[in-house]
Amino acid sequence: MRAIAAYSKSSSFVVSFVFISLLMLGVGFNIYTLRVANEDLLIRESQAAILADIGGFRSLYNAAGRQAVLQAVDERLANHTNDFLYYLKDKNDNYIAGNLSDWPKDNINVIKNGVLDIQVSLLQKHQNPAANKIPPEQAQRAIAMLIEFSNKDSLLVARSVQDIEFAVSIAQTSSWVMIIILCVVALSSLALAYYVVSRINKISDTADAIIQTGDLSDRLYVESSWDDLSKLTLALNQLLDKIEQSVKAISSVSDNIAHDLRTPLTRLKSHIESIDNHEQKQALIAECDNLMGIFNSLLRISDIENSAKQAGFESVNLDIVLEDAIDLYSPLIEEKNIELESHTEAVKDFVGDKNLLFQAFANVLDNAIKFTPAHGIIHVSLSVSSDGIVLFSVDDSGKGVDSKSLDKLTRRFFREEKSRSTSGNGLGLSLVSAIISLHGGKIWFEKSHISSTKMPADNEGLRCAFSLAYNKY
Amino acid sequence: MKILLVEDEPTVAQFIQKGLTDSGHVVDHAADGNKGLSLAVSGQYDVVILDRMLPEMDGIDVLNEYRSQGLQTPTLILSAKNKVDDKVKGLRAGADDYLTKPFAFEELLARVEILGSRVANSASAETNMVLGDLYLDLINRKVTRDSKVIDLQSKEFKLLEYLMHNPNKIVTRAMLLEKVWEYNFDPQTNVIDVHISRLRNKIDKGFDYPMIETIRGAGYMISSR
Repeated sequence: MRAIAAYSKSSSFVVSFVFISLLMLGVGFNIYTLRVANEDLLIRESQAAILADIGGFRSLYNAAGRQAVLQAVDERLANHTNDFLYYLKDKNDNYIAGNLSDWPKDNINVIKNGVLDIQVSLLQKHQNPAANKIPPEQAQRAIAMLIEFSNKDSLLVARSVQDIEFAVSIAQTSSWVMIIILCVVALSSLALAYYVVSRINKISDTADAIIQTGDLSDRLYVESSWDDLSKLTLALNQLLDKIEQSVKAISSVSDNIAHDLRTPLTRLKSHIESIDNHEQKQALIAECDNLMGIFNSLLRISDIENSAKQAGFESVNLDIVLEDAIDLYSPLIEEKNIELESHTEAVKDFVGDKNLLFQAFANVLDNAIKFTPAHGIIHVSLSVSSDGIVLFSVDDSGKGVDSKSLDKLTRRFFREEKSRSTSGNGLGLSLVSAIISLHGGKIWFEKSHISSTKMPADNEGLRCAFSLAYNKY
Repeated sequence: MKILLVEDEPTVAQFIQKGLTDSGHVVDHAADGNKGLSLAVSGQYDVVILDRMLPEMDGIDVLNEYRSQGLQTPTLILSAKNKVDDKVKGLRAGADDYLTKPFAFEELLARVEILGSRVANSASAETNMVLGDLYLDLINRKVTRDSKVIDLQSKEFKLLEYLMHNPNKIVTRAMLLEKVWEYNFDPQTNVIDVHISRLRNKIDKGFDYPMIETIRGAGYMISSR
């Protein structure tokens, strides 16, 4: 199968996985950054600022007492850029200064080292412009610290973390959005990859079908014309058009060659008929017939190679066809006193072309008989394996074939040096090979399996075998 | 014989026409199906040679048409492709013989001559055949020559029977393979010759004259003197 079976072998899937991994890395980094730059960090920073402020107040008090502290609070509150919150009270809990409405009582959490996490409200009537920014009475979260001066005054220094919380929530929202985008991107890129793979599979399925059936008139299905794959499909269809045209042109050329050369050959033959020398005449006519035979064989091979697989297939009893072929050749076998051993299993209802299969058996037998010496042995076997493969083999006891030449035997006009003296045109096995591949089978050659004790001296013998898938009719 | 050739390819038509004329036949040529049909229905021909692929009207359609009009002229179909379904279609439509291109002219000539003579001897269901002093009993499958019983194997009998069906006519090797062995194929070597020589050994050896003659480059012919 040429279709992409495993999606991991598809480039578009690999690309989408790479992109998804990169995006996940990005989101991971984002989440990590958020984790590091979280509330704790921001709170710690606020805490440091508060500590520094408190240090300032403490030294002010030590130097100049309550009045200096009071003045400093007012000064700081008057400064617009200041984001500190203050509440100064005396030992009887009376308000002295600051911009908070109340001394915090509820919801006080001690974080550590006297740092408090509290809810505060701003003082409504305070003239600080900051009061206008935030609606009054609305509680907000703040980080605070407390100092008690030696006159039992208490100062609460706080810093709002409202803005920090806001920033954190925005960052969280944005990372959720990113995760959602990632999911959408991942899903759509997987869908895209699936779409691409399924279309490529469709293209390769059609290509496969064309290879299998040899039917060049088949075309790829064009779904649309907007994208690159459609353009590829169109280009492939144009390529198929071109190939089909060329194949047609070639076959018409070879048909023409057959006709064009047959006429002069026939003319030549009629000229030869008028030659007086009888012996010479017969020899020349035989040569003419030989030429005609070569043309016919060549045309037949190319015809079989180009024909569609199923055309003319019928139910064939392969064992009967083989027996008929053996029967046809039995006089030749008897003439040379060859010992023929045949084991044929019944192969009923094989799907194939009866005449072509007969031709294949006949050609292989013909070769075996031709190359086996008188009083030699030929083994013929036809069997069906347990996994439904038909195996045919013919072992002869001839000289054999040089191991380097074994895979060249089915080439057109190939003849071994030592067999050049025997009759034949080097097309017989090409024809067999074309027939076997038309039936979806395989043909191969090896050293004969006949035991060497039965083999004539110095002979290796040759086995010609082919395997065919046993598709019942 | 008067032969109608329906063939659209000019080179092939010319090649066949010339060959048949040289062999002493009269040939009319039609280059398309319509013209072929109108000539064929005139009923003046002994044999029709019909190309499978024709412009205007397919060869099979032409054949169907004149067969349906009750015309029984022996017909040989020519086809460019060696495809069995084509052959089956042609024979089902009532063709008497079938030949795939490319073919040797001798093959066509032999087949046409046998088709032309078929009308004469196809009428009676034969039970025996006689040619000179050779006698074939088709029911008991017995052969005698000059009253001497000859023992033949079943393939040899079939071979002789087919030859006897067409006395004094050339029978090609391909025709023998088709009719006797019932396979349509191209033998590489002289395997048919070996069968014929075995048959000859039995029916010709030791008798006055040989009946089976080899026609070089074409086939065989059986005849009495």
